[in-house]
Amino acid sequence: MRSSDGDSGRGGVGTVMPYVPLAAAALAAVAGMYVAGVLCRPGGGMPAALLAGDGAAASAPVSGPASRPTWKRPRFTERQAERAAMARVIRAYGMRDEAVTAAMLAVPRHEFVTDDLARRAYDDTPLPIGYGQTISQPYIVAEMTRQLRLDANSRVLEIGTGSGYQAAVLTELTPHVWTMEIVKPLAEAAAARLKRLGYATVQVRHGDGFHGWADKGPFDGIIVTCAAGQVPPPLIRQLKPGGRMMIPVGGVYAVQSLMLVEKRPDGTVRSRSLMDVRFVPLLRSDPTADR
Amino acid sequence: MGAPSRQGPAGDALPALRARLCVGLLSAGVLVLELALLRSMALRFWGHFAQMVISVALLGFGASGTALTLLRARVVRRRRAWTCGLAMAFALAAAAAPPAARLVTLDAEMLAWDARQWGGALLLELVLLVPFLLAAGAIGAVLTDRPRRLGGHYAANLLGSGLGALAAVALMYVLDTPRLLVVPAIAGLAAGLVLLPWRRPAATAAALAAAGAVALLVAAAPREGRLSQYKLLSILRSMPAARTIHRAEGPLGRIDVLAGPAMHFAPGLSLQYTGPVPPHVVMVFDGDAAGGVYHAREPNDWAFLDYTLPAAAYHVRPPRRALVIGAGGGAEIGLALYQRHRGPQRDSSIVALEMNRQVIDAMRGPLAAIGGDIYDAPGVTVLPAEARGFLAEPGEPFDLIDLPPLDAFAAGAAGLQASQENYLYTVEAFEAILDRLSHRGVLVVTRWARTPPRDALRVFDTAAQALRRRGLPPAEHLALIRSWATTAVLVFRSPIAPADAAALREFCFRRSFDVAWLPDLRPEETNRFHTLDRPYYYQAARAMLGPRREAFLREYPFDVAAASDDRPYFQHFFRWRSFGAIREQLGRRSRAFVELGYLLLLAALAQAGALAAVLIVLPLAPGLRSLRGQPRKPAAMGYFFLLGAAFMLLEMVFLQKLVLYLAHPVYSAAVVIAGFLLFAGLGSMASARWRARPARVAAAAGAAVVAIALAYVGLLGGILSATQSLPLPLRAGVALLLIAPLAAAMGHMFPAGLRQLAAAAPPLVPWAWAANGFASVLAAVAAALLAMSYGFRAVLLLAVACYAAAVLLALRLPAAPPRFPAAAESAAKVLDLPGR
Repeated sequence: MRSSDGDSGRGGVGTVMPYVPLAAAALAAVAGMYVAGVLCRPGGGMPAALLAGDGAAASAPVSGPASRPTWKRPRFTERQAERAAMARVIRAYGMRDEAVTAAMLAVPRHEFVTDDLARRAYDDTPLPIGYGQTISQPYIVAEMTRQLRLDANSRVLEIGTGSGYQAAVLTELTPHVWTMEIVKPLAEAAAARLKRLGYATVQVRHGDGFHGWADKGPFDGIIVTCAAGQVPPPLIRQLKPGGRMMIPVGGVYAVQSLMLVEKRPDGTVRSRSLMDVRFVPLLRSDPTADR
Repeated sequence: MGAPSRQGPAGDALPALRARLCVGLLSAGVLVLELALLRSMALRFWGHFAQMVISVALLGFGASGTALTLLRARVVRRRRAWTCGLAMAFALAAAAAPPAARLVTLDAEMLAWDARQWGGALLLELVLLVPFLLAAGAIGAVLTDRPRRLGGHYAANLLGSGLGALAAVALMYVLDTPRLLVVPAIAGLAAGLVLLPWRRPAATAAALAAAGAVALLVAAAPREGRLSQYKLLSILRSMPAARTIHRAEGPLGRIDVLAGPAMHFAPGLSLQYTGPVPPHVVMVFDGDAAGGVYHAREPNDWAFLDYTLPAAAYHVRPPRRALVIGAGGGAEIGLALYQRHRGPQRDSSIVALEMNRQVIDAMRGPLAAIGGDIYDAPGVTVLPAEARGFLAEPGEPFDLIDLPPLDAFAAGAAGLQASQENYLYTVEAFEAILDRLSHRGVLVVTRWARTPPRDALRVFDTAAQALRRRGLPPAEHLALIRSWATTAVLVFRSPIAPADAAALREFCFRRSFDVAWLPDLRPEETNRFHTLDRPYYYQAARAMLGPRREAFLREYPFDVAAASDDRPYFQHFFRWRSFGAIREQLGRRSRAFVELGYLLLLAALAQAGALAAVLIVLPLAPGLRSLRGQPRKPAAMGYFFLLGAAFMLLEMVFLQKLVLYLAHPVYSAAVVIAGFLLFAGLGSMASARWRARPARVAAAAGAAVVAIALAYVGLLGGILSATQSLPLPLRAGVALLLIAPLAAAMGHMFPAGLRQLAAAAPPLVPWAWAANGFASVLAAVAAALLAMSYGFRAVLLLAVACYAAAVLLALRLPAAPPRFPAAAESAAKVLDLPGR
């Protein structure tokens, strides 16, 4: 994302006029560099400072403390309008967390889908990625991210890397992201993709996520995308007291609710089924009021 | 189009015996293909593709009828060549269709999200259509033979069809589905060779080339069918070091047993359980529903199952005698063994039912050591029996009956079983179970939990209705508990005592399970461990047990009313009138709540209708002018349309209703299809022997159908219940006896009406055939949709109404001109083709 150029904010037209030709030349140079593809990729010839996502160029707000994020997050300008449209859809579902929305705006979802589905990358739909896996509907990704309540110090584990999209979104909010994928081709492809795109803060491992990633735990947040009726006890052990685990419930194309598992400070575990939107009321009045 | 009003040329002569052998082989091949495709599609996708296969087969026959009408003169001139050629083409198509279908990309789970999948479904139908079209064409070509031979040809057709249906089921015991799909190609090849004019070198060369091509196709065919990537089997196979250690296939489906270090299967465990789970392998049924086979040698190895919901029943009322419905991999038996070891009833006995003999053979054979020999553990008796049949027999009562979830976790969530009949979760089934419980007995029914609640509420209401029918107040006999993954409804034969309630509360508290209903439950006790936005389960249970039950069931976003044997679609919850509100609130996310099973049926209906219009009706359009001036067109078209629809509605009702009686859809399909073909065909043959005018014969037959069908509305259920405990072969015989009079009467109507039409208004004949075929194709799918919404009885009554209307229309059919009776009769015999 490009920041807007600084404005003068003072003086009248006569003060500004001498600088117009210079400004026009600068704009032309920028346009030329964009056309040349220099600005479309991270590291595309621009000074490292601008890529660092800090200072004036940084446009991704972070949740948590006011300290500036210190990890590199790549930035992409391709198909930005589509991401903006996707963000509007997410907001229409009731998403109010601007940090999460900004994360969704930052990550190029089209890089995480197969070529034949690239044009549908920003549609409001899950998409297949092979091996019986999907990249979730954008809102589901956003909501799971929001429910984890991450800040820049949070440690997050994802079980079921898939394409790596969710991991990329997570790392917009924290640099401490670990993700595991049991299907080797998916794991390798995701790792290569994340590296190519510049998501250096995501660590990908091919392996059985049932056992978690003990030497990197405990975790503040865990996302499990392939629970199939069982929450692995090792994952519960690797959840910090106060930590939150998110599990989408339903088939790959039928995520009907999200399950939140919270570990209390005393180590006990409670779970909650989340229906983000208030569902159709069961009855016109609460029958328990009869008592 | 042919001119049936005058005697056509005799055409190419067929050697009678060889022609009948050819027809018999083709007919058998078609039935084997149909049933094999049912299995193949069920394995690749899910079982509700059965309606699509049946619809496609009917489409093939209907389209061939239109084609034969248009090409009649050519076919008659070279009848033998056409028959041989089409038979060989059928052999090629039957060999090519399975690999071609495998190439069609169709992700059924994406149907609600991706419109392109509908194109894939259409393409799949077209691929499967070809062999049926060709076989029907070959049979139809033989049936253009001389009228005096038709009786024998019909008999061969019927016999072949019946034998084919039975042979298909028998072959399923020895051949897996890919090999079974080869049989129709061999039958087609044999049919063509039987009738081949060997003295003609060109024909011989062509036949040998075809045989060679079939052999190549068969040899090159993949040994395994394509499996949806979203099925559990596909996912398990992709896991590291996964390997198949056992596979078996039979009429009841296919089982695959997979092992690997990444196999973790212990669904529904409490989040509080952090102990070990024994090493295990995973047994998968038809690619999706799964169960663990645990290497548990000691009773304490099963301790992990004490942290699942079904264990509650053992804690509340420890049984002396327990029944497990669906032994599978043995987990429920293991639970019972652990409870026996832990509890006061150390000498309790356990009976487990398993209707799939492949599972029993596996658990006693190659999986015995892995599974800890659980099928032969002391005090355990595993019976090869189907639950409803077992419950129908008199026997000793049980203190506990365990009905675990028998379907896949994810498939249920996606509504993939919405269009599947399930006779274990009906009011009548629960009544039968209640009758088998001892006075202190408990039924525990476990289902996967979903938000918003559906399964559990339907089980609850079904149990409540069963209790009411037994004169028991449900509020005092029901308990409902839930975890994050599962729900369990406990049905007590005697009122829940305070000690029972206390034991249940204690059990749930220690495992962080929620209690959603007990007679003395307070609202503040609910929704504590796995919390929901509202205490939906408790509120729903209260509503369903109170005076506002009807209002609740009407207003709830999903249909959760009790299922019955008349409407046994337990997993069908979708409501059109609620979907608008769901869509408004959830936007595109509402598609996650669309039941794919239901959607597939709708897709099949739309596509079947479109294809039928294009292939059956449209080709006749150039001949529209010939209809001008023809008498009583609406009556004629209406008559044949109603026949086509009503025949299929009745056949589908029997097909689905007999699933319960004959224990499995494959058995039901074989008996019903064979029975209706056989007896309708006999009826067709007999229809020409009556002296009355054909229209009167048709009307009389229709009246007989109405009378018999109305009698069945009242009597069929009782007859089936009374004979439910007979062995399967005898039940099949009873089913055939029930089908016989009805199908024979039904079989009169089409040829009689066609004879009348052929004599009175010949240009209407092809259109009559087309109307009949079109209606058949639609009704094959529509019957399932109607049954899901309104029940079998309603569909049966609709069929009766159609036949009643057809009777009235039969009397309005165009009358034959009286001065040409001989010619009219001869013309009619020429067109005396089998049909509905």
